[in-house]
Amino acid sequence: MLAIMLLVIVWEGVYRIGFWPPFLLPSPYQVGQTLWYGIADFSLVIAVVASFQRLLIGYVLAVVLGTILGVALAKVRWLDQTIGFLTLGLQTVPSIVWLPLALLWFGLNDKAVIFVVVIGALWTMVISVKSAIQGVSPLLIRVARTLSYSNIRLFFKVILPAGLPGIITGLRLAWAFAWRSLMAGELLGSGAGLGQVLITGRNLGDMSLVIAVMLIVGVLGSVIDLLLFQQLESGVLEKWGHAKQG
Amino acid sequence: MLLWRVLAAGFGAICNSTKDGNIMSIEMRQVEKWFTDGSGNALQAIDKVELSIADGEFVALLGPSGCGKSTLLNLIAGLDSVSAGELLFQGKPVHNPGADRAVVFQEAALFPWLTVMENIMFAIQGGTSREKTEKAAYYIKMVHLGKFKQAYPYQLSGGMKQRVAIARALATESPVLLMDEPFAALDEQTRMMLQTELIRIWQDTKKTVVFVTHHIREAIYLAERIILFSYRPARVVKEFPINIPRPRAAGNFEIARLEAEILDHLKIEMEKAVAEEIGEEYLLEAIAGNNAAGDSVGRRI
Repeated sequence: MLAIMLLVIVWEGVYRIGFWPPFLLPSPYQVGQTLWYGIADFSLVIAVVASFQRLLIGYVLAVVLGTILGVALAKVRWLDQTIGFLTLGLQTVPSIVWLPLALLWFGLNDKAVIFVVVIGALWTMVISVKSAIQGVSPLLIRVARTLSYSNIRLFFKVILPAGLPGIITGLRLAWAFAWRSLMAGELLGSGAGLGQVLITGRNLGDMSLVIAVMLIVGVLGSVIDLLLFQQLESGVLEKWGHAKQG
Repeated sequence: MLLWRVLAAGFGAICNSTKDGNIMSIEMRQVEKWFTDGSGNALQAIDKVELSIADGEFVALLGPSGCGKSTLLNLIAGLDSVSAGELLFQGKPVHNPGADRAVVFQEAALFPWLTVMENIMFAIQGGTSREKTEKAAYYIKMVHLGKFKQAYPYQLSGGMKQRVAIARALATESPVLLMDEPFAALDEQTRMMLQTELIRIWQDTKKTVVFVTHHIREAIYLAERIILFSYRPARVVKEFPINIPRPRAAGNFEIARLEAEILDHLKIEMEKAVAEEIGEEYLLEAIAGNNAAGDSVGRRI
């Protein structure tokens, strides 16, 4: 909270010094005003909702596909040896480079952006799930085997819960990657959404709109991380005994 | 029901009994186990072990660390398969692990996301959830953890965790309890307390217990029979029947005598183990030590 106030004071200070002309660096007050008008006339609200729709669809797809692929890679050796290293390579490619291809495949619409979001979040999820499952203590698996657990029960009762902390870390990372990919995709893509509002702001030379959108993106991303993923993670870690054991 | 039991027992006795007429729980005939190391060499862990363990017997497998006695236990558990020879459990060859041979490992290996209660219920197959809860509660009481039913493993001490692991193994209601150095990681006081509890549980439940340890006094204190193994590959060196009446007190003369006797045999195996680990350097030192003033083993180990 203190850090935010400090940032606003510095911002206001730089604005008053007049390093940049006001149309390039608006004051916190002007940005606040733009934010308020955008919320009041629903233009920003509509943009947030549109962006979130794409984000959620893309994220859910990435999580589901990533989990399936991650489990498959962890369990099937020949699959890991063939496409396992590919996932590592693909993860290092920024998802936005897929956009030109996506635009040709899906056309200039939502699908292309969603595709970029899926690609952006998928590989992190795959790698997290895979290493979470491979990292399950062999001793726990042996215990379950001596208790006559079949492979399917073993997977759902031991391997999956034991890997849950790692899987949740994957969910959190995938969320961050999805959010970034969405913004990149929307900047270059089309339709309603925060990315397009950002482009509009730039085209109109309306820097207070640009900064307002940046604020929304930053705040939404971190609020969700804080309220959803960090809560989930710390809850699981504590129950799994990691937090207390150190 | 009773008639059936008598018949079953009689039939079992005909099929797998020794000259003494005891019903055999576990039988090993010329059991061997070979492993392949990283560079493709075959390593022998167990060499032609002949061993019969009677129903309800408490047997300790004793040997130097790393001799292969845990491997032998894994074979009985079905976690590993024999390379040669025959390993029978209740007259049938062992192929897979199963809840009829519950295992307690050196680490408690509890499921961290389950409470004590849930960890024990994990081992109970079949029955309604109420039956499961009642059964789990019964075994929690048996290891005196009633107050910690709802605790998670990270809230328990090492000794308490191991008691949960024992209760989990008991909850399978298997006729056999396999224990792989279950108290080795615990402090001396906890170890003594759990040994006493284990004896009581064994006397109450009449299970067959196979207890792997490298601790001579622990073996004497617990077992009815000690099987002493050689260093790699594990061979049976000698068997020691233990007829000391229970409770076996620490000051008992017979315990001290037996301990000395077993130690004499074990020393030779320990020498081999140390020689292999430290290598030639040790052998030279040992020779020098022997020439100078006698027993180097006592100081080195």
